[in-house]
Amino acid sequence: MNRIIPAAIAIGAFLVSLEVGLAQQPPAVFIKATSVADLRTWDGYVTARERAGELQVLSAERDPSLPDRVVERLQQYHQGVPVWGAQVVRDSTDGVAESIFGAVSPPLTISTEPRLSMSDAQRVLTGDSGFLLRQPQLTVLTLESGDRRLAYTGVQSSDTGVFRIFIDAQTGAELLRYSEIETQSAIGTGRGAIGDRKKVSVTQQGGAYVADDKMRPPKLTTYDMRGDLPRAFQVVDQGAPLFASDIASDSDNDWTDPPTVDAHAYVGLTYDYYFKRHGRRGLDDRDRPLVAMVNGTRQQDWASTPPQLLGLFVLNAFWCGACGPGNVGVMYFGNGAGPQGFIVNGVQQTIGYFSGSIDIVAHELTHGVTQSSSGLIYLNESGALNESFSDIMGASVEFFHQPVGSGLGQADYLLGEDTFRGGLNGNRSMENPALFGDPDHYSKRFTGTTDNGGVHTNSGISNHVFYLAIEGGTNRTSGLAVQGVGAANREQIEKVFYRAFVFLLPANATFSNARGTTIQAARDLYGAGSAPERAVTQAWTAVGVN
Amino acid sequence: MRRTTALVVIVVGLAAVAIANPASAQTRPPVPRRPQPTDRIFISVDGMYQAGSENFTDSATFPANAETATFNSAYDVKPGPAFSIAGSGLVWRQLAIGIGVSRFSRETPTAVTASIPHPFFFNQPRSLTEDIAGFHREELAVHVQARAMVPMSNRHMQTMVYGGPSFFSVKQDVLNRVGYSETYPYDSITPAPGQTASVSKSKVGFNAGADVAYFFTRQVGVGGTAQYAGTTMALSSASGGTVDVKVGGFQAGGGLRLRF
Repeated sequence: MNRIIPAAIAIGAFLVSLEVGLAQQPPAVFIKATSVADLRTWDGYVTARERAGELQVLSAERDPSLPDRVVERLQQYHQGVPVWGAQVVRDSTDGVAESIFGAVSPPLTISTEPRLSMSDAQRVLTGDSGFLLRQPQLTVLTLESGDRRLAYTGVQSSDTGVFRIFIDAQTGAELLRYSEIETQSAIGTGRGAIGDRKKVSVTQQGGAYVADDKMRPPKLTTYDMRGDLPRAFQVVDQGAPLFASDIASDSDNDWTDPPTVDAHAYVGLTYDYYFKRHGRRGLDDRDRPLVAMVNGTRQQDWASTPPQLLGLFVLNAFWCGACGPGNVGVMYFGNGAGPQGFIVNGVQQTIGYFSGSIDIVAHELTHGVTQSSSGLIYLNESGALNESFSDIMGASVEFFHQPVGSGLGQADYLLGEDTFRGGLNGNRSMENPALFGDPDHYSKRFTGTTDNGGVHTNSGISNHVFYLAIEGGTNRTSGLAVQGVGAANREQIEKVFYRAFVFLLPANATFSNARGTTIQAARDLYGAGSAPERAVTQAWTAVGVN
Repeated sequence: MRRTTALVVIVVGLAAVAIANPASAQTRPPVPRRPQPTDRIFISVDGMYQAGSENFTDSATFPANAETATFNSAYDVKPGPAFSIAGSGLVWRQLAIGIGVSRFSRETPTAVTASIPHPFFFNQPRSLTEDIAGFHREELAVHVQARAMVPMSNRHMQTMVYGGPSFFSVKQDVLNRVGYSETYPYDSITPAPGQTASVSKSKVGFNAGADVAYFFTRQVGVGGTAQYAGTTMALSSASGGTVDVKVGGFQAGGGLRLRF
């Protein structure tokens, strides 16, 4: 009897601990294998647990300095729930392990059924005055005591900082908290394409700095293709993965590659604009990672670029919604052709770095916003509206961050004017679309089939509406005058177009839909009969859209 | 400095007048000899009020976000009570040599202003103003004094003027690095605990003052004193250099007087 009672208590305690996830678990297994004998043992161990589904490959990368090696990172799972930080890294050549390092938990018995619902976890993690930057995730957390708990983890931002917080998935009690403002974050400096000095938010990694912005809520990474066009092509067109070694880097944090500096800084500034002006959290309003790619070719190598790729990878910038790690989308910025002149829209111009114009960068990022919101079909009128919204947000970001003026690095209604230089700077004008051969009136719209039905041409119509609604003026074709809200109130029209294009437009919208939704947005935001409603209505009428 | 020099001159002058037998007395009719002090040990225990040392400021810079951050700390050294005890012994005629100890401890509320560069933009610093409570100053001074008794006709009254070197030891709480917290989009910053330190320093200064006492009995009385005791010392600055800080100041108070 004396033995039975303690045994019963022990069994009971064990069962209770299983139920509430408090089980005292055996210690972690530390793996360090570099010798042949150790490798044989540990490779077998890792492989067995991999087969059991407890270890799953998180990534497989090639280290450029040892190109024949593949470094696999394996994450431990317990009944489908990741064990926080439990990873194994296996470096191999042709499938033969060269080294294995890691620390994993032995097979676990902890329950993976949380008592706390996801919404309860969100509430607890948000706290009284914070908000969550990352959605909660269920995980198995090893405490300092060695106990393991089923936990929810999320990243909370509040006045006191940004913290990763773990709460007990059964009781809601806080288990661990640490700052997510990582100490290795660094602010570097660099010069952009027009020689302007700017800051870049990067990460210190070892003895170098990489273009990985950890200060903004989403992951913001700029990849440097280092002139390797075939690789850029593979990433964009064939879904090849981007590796950590592809991230743009600099040895002293004084960045000297203009396209990298501009792309990295301007993507961040565009995110800032959306956040500050519209309260939007990036591409999908949920801080989807932002990925930029530069240097698909070197500027001096433009002439040797295969002609079929010149227009895509050299003299162009684009948004590829299905590219990038996890298909989060990639913004690609070509390097142009430097001093080489081209005839663009009948105008002799040089074409520089596409990332060197903030409106171009914002334009491409906005394509991602459109993809995540209205989904405007990239064809005919909806396609023109898609392009136009990117132009409109491009100009808005430019006015938000740059002083008004007509010089380099100044805000105006030209698009891409810091990239397309000479004659008429830029490649489109919102003030006078006809300068670049684009229509300023619906009656002059392109009705052919090229360029997906003239998406880059007919965008001029709604671009001009945006301009007239702010600045006012007379449409050159109709002769109708518009009373704009004035430059001091540009925010009103920006918000009207944002609301209409992000929330109200259907995917197959027409110009007429755009008129209706922008007028409605103006009423929603500023009231019927308000100055923005009047300005928008007059502007659409002036360009012949009813 | 000019005022303190003048004060020293006055005190020394008074002492000289009090001690000296004027030569002209030989030509005048003899005056009744004033009673020489028969007591040789004098002790005073005083509660004092220190009018406050001069406030001081410190400033420093440090690199932040690829620019230079600055902060300025203004330390307000509040006036407040001090405690003093002194003893002296008559060594020659009306001249006594003594030693005293005084202690002054007070809060030094600190107003901090800072300018911290924005992480994303050049020349767009975020500003911060913050009042830090809880900083203290502690001054301990040992005063060596030459005391001159001013002859008084009233045997209940006793007046002394004195002066001499003072050895000051100061402990001052200081802000070495301003603290702030920031969160995206980093357009503003809020106060957060910074790096503080308690710096100590010792230096010689001087003291000078006058003491008036009234004795109820032959040995016990009450008295009042007014004195200046101070110096300027270089404390460690947050910038890595030093900052000149005035220590001590004008003190007045009163308390118990004993003589034996």
